[in-house]
Amino acid sequence: MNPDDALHESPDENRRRTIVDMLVDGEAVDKSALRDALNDAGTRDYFIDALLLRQLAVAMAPNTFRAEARPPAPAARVLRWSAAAVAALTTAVAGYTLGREHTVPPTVSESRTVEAARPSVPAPEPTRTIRFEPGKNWISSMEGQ
Amino acid sequence: MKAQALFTAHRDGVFRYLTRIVGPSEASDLTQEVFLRVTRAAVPETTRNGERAWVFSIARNLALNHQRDRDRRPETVALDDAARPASQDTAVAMRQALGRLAPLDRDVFVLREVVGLSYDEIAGSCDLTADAVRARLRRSRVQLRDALAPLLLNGSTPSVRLYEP
Repeated sequence: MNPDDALHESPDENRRRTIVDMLVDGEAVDKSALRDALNDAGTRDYFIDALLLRQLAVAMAPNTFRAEARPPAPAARVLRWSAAAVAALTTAVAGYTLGREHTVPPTVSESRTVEAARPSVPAPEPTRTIRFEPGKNWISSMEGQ
Repeated sequence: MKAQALFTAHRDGVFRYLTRIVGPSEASDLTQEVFLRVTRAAVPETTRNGERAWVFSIARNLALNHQRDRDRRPETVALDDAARPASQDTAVAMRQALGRLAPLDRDVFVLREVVGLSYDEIAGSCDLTADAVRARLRRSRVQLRDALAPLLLNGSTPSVRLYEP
């Protein structure tokens, strides 16, 4: 496609707009040619619209790249994992040490419970002692008594 | 080291260009991809302007490939939000008008108006002559002016400023 397609400009209009384009795009222009171009109402409108279009294009979306969107560099990632590992190890060691220093001894109430479980009255002496004899049928002899 | 310097100098410009061409949601990833390629490639021995043109030619190629891939995928339709603020409507209108330009004209316009590249730098990035850049820039302005006429006449920006992007 030819870049001049879709432009329906007279040679004079083209010349005046070229001067405005150059001014808008930061190039040096001849001041009498600029004065002549801006004497034309249509060219003045084109000049204003060119500036407005630039403003709209700049304002339509963010203009600054957000650094936090970038993935961290490999070195930073290694450093972050190392810091996490050190923190976890420190926490574990500190927990173990504190746990050892503050071990709770068996409470007095536990030993009292054991004493209270003992019968207050001693058991009676056995009236009869049966000796263990392998192979003997105790049940049937008990039935015979 | 040179790639790092190029990243620092041109990351915002590349991001600005890609935001207008592929949209804000994908511009960050593509910006990173551009500089990944810059890191891997041999930076040409040239002037500062030549370096800038080279970085933007990489960005252009990536944007073209990205759009080609996107065109193959099924199109998603954005829901129209009636409560959208006026400034957002303006941005949408501008995006649509840019989308109707020929791809090369759009690149030339964005590289000039949003990134601030000179005619020679745009010519280097887009493989054109400076005269062709000038002509395409003119055509872009005229077409955008026609497409956005009501907005330019009655838009929400009452003031206008002459400044270099």
